[in-house]
This record gives sequence, C-alpha cells and structure tokens, in this order.
Amino acid sequence: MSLGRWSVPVVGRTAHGPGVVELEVEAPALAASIRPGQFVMLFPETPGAPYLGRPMSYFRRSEETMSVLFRVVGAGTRHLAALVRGDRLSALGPLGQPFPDPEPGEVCLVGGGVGVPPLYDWARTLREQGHGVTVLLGARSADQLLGEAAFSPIAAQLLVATDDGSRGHHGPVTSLLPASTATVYACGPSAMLKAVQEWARGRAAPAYLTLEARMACGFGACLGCTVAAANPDPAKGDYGRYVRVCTDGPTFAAGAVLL
Amino acid sequence: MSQLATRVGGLQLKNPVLVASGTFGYGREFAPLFDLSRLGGIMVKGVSLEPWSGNPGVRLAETDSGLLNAIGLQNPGLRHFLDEDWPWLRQFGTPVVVNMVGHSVEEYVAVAQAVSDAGVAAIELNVSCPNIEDGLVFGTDQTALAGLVASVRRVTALPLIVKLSPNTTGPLPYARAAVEAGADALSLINTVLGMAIDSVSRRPVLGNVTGGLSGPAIRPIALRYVWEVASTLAVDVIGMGGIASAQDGLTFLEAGAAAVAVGSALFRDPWAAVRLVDELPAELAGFGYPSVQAAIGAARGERRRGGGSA
Ligand SMILES: Cc1cc2nc3c(=O)[nH]c(=O)nc-3n(C[C@H](O)[C@H](O)[C@H](O)COP(=O)(O)OP(=O)(O)OC[C@H]3O[C@@H](n4cnc5c(N)ncnc54)[C@H](O)[C@@H]3O)c2cc1C
Ligand SMILES: Cc1cc2nc3c(=O)[nH]c(=O)nc-3n(C[C@H](O)[C@H](O)[C@H](O)COP(=O)(O)O)c2cc1C
Ligand code: FES
Repeated sequence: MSLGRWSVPVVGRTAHGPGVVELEVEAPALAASIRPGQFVMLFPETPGAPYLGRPMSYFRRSEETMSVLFRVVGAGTRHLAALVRGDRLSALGPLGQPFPDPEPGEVCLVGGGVGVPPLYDWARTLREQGHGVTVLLGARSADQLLGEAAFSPIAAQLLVATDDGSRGHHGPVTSLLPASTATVYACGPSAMLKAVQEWARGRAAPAYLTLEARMACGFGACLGCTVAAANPDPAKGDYGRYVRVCTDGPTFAAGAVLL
Repeated sequence: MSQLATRVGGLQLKNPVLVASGTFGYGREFAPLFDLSRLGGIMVKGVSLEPWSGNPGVRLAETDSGLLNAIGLQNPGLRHFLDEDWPWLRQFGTPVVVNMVGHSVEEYVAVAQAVSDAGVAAIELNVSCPNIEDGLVFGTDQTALAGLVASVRRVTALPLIVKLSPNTTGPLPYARAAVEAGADALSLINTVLGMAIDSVSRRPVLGNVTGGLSGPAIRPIALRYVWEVASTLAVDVIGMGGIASAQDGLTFLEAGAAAVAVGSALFRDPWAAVRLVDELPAELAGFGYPSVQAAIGAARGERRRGGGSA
C-alpha cells in the first residue's frame, strides 16, 4: 500500500521507565498496512512543534491502533512525549523497506536501547510463521532496559545484557550472539551495530542491520539520510557511493554498508 | 490566458506552481502519490556531467522554522538523466526544467547542449557551485556569472533560467549581469549559507560544517529578492523560499514573481505543491484577483483599504 499522511488522535500514553514513552494513536489504515521493519514520520500538531517530522519505528499495532516507543533525547522527542490523550499528530507512512525474510529455521533478534521497539512485531510475526526466535536485549543499565516483558511470551529464548551488570549478562549484548546458523536482525546504537557487523563477517548465515539517520523527508526525496555503500554499483559511478537509509533501508545486509 | 496560466522567460505554464530543484528528485518518489501532470512544472535535482557522490557525514540539521542541508549535489549524472529519468518523466507532459550544476563552464555547457537536444522545457543554472579552476563560486562573482551565462546561452535556444544565490550583498548586480548575458528568467532564491552546533557533541552538526538554509525561515529574504528584482528589471522571476501554501504563493506573485516553486515544504507534506494548485483559485478570488496575471506585481500598486499602515 502506498504512502499516506494522516491526522491521528493520541489514545494512549504510557511511561516505560525514565524518559521512555509509548504513545498509542488511533490509525486503522496505517496499522493495517505497515509491515515489520517500516517506520513513520511523526509531526505533533500542537503549537511549537519542530519543522521536520521525527522518524519512528512502530512498536505494536492492533486493528485500530499503532504505537511508538521512544526515548526523549531532544526537542522533537520532548514534544512527542508531552502529547496527551486527545492531542493529534500527523503521521506520514508506511516508510522504508520491511525486514527481509529470514532463511528457514532459527532467527536471532538483537536490540540495544531504543533499537528494541521495531523488533517486537517482527518477533511476533516470525513466531507465527513457525520460526524459533531468540531475543537478545541490551541496555546501559537495568532501568533503561526495554521490552523484556513484551518479548518474554514470544521468545523461545530471551537473554539480557547490561553495560553495568545491573541485570543479566555484564557486558555488551553482542557478546551473547549465538554460534548458530540463525538469521540475525540487529537494531541499536552504532557501536552495537558495528560489533554485529564485525561478528557477521565471513559468516554464512545472513545478518541484517537496521540503521538510523537524520531525515528530512523519510521517502527518498532529499538525499539527506545517506550511508556509505560497501560495494557501490560500478554502473552508477560516484553516485553509487551513498545509499538512502530511508528508502533503500533502514535495514541493510550487514556487509552492504560502511558504518 | 486561463485563470491560472502564466509565462516565465518564454516558458508557457498551465499554472504557476513548480517544485524546486533538489526537493523533488526526478519525480519518482512522488509519482505514486499524485498525478505529476497537475504541477505547473518540475525543476529536477541538479544534473552534472558525471555522477556526483555528494558529501560524506551528516547532511541535515534542523533549525527553527527550517533546515540546513549539505547534500553536496549528489546526482546520477547526465547520462543517467537522459537514459532513465527524462524518457520516464516526459510521459506526464509537465514542463521539465533541468537544473544543472558543474565544476567548470565547460561542464555546464556540455550538459546544456545535451539536454537541449533531448527536448526538455527549460534550463535552470544553479550557480552556487565553486569553479574548480579558481575556487570562486560562479553566483557570487559578477564576471564569472556573466561568463557562465553567456557560454550556456550560446549553445541553447531553450528558456534559460538563472538561479541566484542570496549569499551576496544584494540581488541587483547579479540579476543584471545574468540578464545582460542572456538569461530569460531568474529563480530567486537558492539556500542561505548557515551552520549549526550539535547540542550534545558541541561540534558542527554538518559533515561539511556549513550548509544551505531553506524553509519558512528564509521566506522574507526570498520575498525581498523577488520584490527588488521584479520592480527594477524587466525579467520574469520564479519565487521560492519557504513557500508552503496558497497564501504564501500569492504573496510572491504580488511581490512580482510570475511563478513560484515549492521546495522544503514537500519534505513535511509531499502533497504541498498540488494542494497549492488546488487552493490558489480560492485564494486569488478571496482578494479579488480574476487571474494569476492580475496578481503578479499587484503589491506595487496602491494600498488596499484596510491594509496595514504605519
Ligand atoms: C527509521 C528510524 C526509526 C527510529 N525509531 C525509533 C524508535 O522506535 N524509538 C526511538 O526512541 N527512536 C527512534 N529513532 C530515533 C529518533 O528518530 C530520534 O531520536 C529523534 O529524531 C530525535 O529527535 P529529537 O528532536 O528529540 O533530538 P535532536 O534534538 O534532533 O537530537 C538530540 C541528539 O540526538 C542526536 N540525533 C538526533 N537524531 C539522530 C539520528 N537520527 N541518528 C543519530 N543521532 C541523532 C543529535 O545529534 C543530538 O545529539 C528512529 C530513527 C530512525 C531513522
Ligand atoms: C535538500 C535540498 C536539496 C537542494 N538541491 C538543489 C539543487 O540540486 N539545485 C538547486 O539549484 N537548488 C537546490 N536546492 C535549493 C532549492 O531548490 C530552493 O531554492 C531552496 O531550498 C529554497 O526553497 P524552499 O525554502 O522552499 O526549500 C536544494 C534544497 C534542499 C533543501
Ligand atoms: S530522509 Fe530524505 S532521502 Fe532519506
């Protein structure tokens, strides 16, 4: 289904620990068409909202609603976090490529910090398709950990790591990566993605990285969100050196981009 | 002419609403969203002789009421445009204005010659590029600007639009230089140079340090450029800079623009330009203008009753 722009009301707002908010909007058309791995650009309709939209993966959806889960890091997310039930925001979407399908068999999802939200609906979908899903969640500390309760009923295995050891494994979540042939999907801070990329080098089974970038449009028009391609298409000349995170991604094969 | 029709530099448009170069790609991202033939014209992303990679690092920074970009004119080059984009774009029948960029006069001339042979509607020179020979930006040096425009003029019979940089002391010397060298129309304005410091890292946000400011933040600057040029020189002007609505568009027509272009507003709302087309008749009628032609330059006439006073 093609791109739309909807004015939608906030129907729920839940705090998930310090500075982390889940915002639920009533958006049946979006909820029905968006696929795991895709995102939306959000524009609060309240006064003083920033000029540009903010890209957000969706976290969960029902028939009528869709939610985003985000950390407040600056003006845009502060504005979104201040919305209350009944406020409206505009949503442009669905945007980006859905997650590519895995190989048959095991799947491993790796989420760090606010990289966790996009993986939830994907885990649910994969499990419905009969895949065994291992989920690895990382955070700086226990109070920053997201998604543990949501994932536990659907993950065959759920492992947690924190940088300070306050919960689960003491160390980076990437040290929990399995020596299996699972298809891996990773979303999180760039240090985590770099570690997964390094780990996946030379591995036979596929690994995918979901990237973030500053975006002006989210639908491929501005060329502002680019990342360097690892193997540029020689037919494109210099033009092929950068690819768009918004429309070519946000998910890329681990070997396809230079981080 | 019909109510919405207009002419710029010999280019006939069915309505005065174009989309600004670099904010519309080559139309592919927008074609699934609306019929591109509803637009008055399409100014495509800057085309260079060879493909350009654009800038490394962060390319965007938001500002109050606008954005800074340092894309670095990433584009797939002339060959790709002629082989892939133009044959596809021409099916819509919308006039296509080819914006072009270059490192030297020779590069501009080569692109101008090739697209003229292909049959596009008009050429727009982005003169905010440095000349690789001396590092001078064409658009901020009157002699270099005149030389570039004259050289392109010699190889094309198409309407030749020159897009002026606002990063000068004022538009008139440059506008005059461009017109005397053969420009048929002027686009006003390109982005305004600026920069931003990151709130966390305390370092420049943009990989390129500086970038071009666009959006509502520059609308008053653009309006002043249009006003000054249109009321001084006998040349058609396309106004752009922060235009998002029919209200905005009408003010540029009243200041003297013969057409307007929607740019950054498309990033917020990809339908912004077609909405402007749809809402313009009511906006014109609301202020008693029977047509676009009647509105062009109307702000130079006598003040309306009830209008602001000092
Ligand atoms: C496809 C996609 C999906 C996303 N999904 C989620 C999500 O589900 N949950 C979530 O919490 N966040 C998500 N983000 C990140 C989110 O968009 C940014 O946190 C938000 O735009 C920041 O806006 P702000 O105005 O609050 O911060 P700003 O004031 O713009 O920035 C605050 C700080 O963050 C840095 N920053 C801002 N934007 C980015 C960026 N895109 N990449 C790297 N650094 C940045 C700035 O340099 C600055 O240091 C996603 C981003 C993308 C591209
Ligand atoms: C992301 C971006 C890319 C642009 N690329 C070009 C370009 O290739 N050539 C050009 O002449 N102008 C380019 N421009 C300038 C716009 O065409 C326009 O003159 C300017 O942005 C002011 O209009 P606006 O405020 O409506 O965006 C670009 C602007 C933006 C924001
Ligand atoms: S955000 Fe505009 S091209 Fe990706």
